[in-house]
Amino acid sequence: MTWLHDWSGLVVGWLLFAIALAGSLSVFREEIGDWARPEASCCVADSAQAGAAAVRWLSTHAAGAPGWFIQPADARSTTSYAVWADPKAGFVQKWLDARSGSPVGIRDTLGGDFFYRLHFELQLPYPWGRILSGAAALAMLLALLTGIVAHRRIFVDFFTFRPGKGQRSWLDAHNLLAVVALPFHLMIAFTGALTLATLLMPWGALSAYHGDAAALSRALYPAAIDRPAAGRPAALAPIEPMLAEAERRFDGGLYQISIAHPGDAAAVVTLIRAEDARIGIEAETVSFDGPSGRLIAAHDEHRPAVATYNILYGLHTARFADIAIRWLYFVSGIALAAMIGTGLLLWTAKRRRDRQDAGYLLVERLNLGFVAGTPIAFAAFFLANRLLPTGLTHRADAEVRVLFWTWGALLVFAALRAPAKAWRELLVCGALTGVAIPMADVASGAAAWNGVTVGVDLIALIVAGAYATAAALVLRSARATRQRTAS
Amino acid sequence: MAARTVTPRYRLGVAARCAATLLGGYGVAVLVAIAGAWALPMAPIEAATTGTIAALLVLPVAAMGCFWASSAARAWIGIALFAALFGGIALAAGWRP
Amino acid sequence: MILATMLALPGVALAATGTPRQTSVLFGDRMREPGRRRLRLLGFALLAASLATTMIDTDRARHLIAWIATIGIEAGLVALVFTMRSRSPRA
Repeated sequence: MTWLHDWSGLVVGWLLFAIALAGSLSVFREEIGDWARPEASCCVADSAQAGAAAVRWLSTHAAGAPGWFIQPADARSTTSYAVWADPKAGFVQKWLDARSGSPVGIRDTLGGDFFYRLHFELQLPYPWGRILSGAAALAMLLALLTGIVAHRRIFVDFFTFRPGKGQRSWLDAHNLLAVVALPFHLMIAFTGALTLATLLMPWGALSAYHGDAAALSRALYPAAIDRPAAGRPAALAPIEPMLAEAERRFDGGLYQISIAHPGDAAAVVTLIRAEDARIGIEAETVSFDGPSGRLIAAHDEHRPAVATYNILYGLHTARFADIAIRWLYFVSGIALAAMIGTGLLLWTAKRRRDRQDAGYLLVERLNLGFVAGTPIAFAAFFLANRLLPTGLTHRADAEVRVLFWTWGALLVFAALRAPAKAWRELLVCGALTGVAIPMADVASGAAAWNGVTVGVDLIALIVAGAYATAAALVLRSARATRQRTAS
Repeated sequence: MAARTVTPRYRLGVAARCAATLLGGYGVAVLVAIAGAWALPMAPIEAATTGTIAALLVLPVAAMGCFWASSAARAWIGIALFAALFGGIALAAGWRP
Repeated sequence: MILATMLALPGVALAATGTPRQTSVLFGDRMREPGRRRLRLLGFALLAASLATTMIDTDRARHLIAWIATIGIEAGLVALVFTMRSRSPRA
């Protein structure tokens, strides 16, 4: 089992490290989005108001689209998210101010959504990124299970950590990080694969419905009425009463407003409840006839298996989480990334003394580039958000390009530079990049004295501190080695 | 498995186990999903969902089984047996490939 | 939830104290089984009590999730504390 653990972990380790980091950032997707869009006005009244404002804006600016999908602003976000299919430009996504419903005046950026999409789409075309990340999640689950089997003294050694002992310390750190958040790691790996079940394991459902995907969709989402356009124009009824009725039924928040065929006589407005103490996604759905505003379907999900699936899905996306649980998810996610990183470094630590073959060299260089480099590349995205001119065309793409070029450069640097020197240099670089984020924040004038700014800048400083500490430790052990060999 | 010499035969064994895991294991999982969807006494959407969740759990377990077996041949025999079991359940419940 | 956390921290610490390695860090050879086992059991009893308090509220599912995560973090902190205590002087 140790062999299987080592290899299943190694093969997907670098990818999973990036996924875990991006996923951890996604826990604060909306907060990072708020940080990235300082121009958006703060403190919206409620999702219904934000949703209505978004619908008003879309009625004038996306009138010809076959459908609108809106995630209205809530207590955590200053913007609503809207996406629709434009006949010329393909899918268009915009972040609309929560109060005015307009994207004008807000800098063009993907914000937290970039990390969210990266961690399951991997910047690859549909469906390949999702299939790859789903497979990685299953490999991670395998690595976790084989790791538990391989960790013989898991209870006796539960609290063991012996620093300063080379390979033993890396193993202790790897085990400790795994064990303290083991329920989280198992849950996030399994539920991560489960969220991609339609791509990884669609065969059971498809065979039960004889390949009829539309019938399957109707069975899964009975209240999501999907009817073809009538071809006759008809104005959409006022959206506010529909939203109010939905909020009354849901006893709380709105997660999504989707309007099929707006402006057509067969328009349908479908509203989905926001996750709360029920944890599961899509716990309740209502649909209204577009032109009349009449309720045509309502569904409260209580079917055991489907509700279980929804709860498992909800556990992964953590949209139900309040601020305390959100931070717990974030810390656990960072522990997951650190566990993966220490596992990768342990692989080279084991072989450093006697088995330095081509495989070792490859792993060592990849470790350097990914484990040290990925956080630096992610930090570059934050810096680009503050430093790129706000009026730049295709600004959102430019921020993403900055991240990937930085990542690429770091990987090339790691491939070419001698590891001993490269570790020191990259760790110092990481510390400097981390410190640069709050500096850029203040210098660009975008920093405000609110929770989001303090949160992002504080985490950046903590990461910089971690890099600086690591650099100091590496420098100290290098000096000790030099003294030992010189004397 | 640490101190074994790496012969071509060893590599072939590992490759065979990997194939058993990836192809055979996935195949068994698919049959578990289909068997669940057809044979479980619930509404079709419920049975299909349960079968799919079970199938995802089967994947890492099948992988561990393939490498825990004392030889690659036994791994493949295990795969074949489970495939026959779940394929049989699905066929008995009315599924036709 | 606050009560649960307050019970959990000594629970984790005692459970840790009951493991062989950490007992020798704190007590050297002076404490062995069954003394260690009693410490461990006391620790786990406190953890069980802490878990029970999370179930009193109606928002059980969220409290359970928060409890599981918090235990992990507390265990990590306790492990680090033991690490610093057991640091052997450099030769």
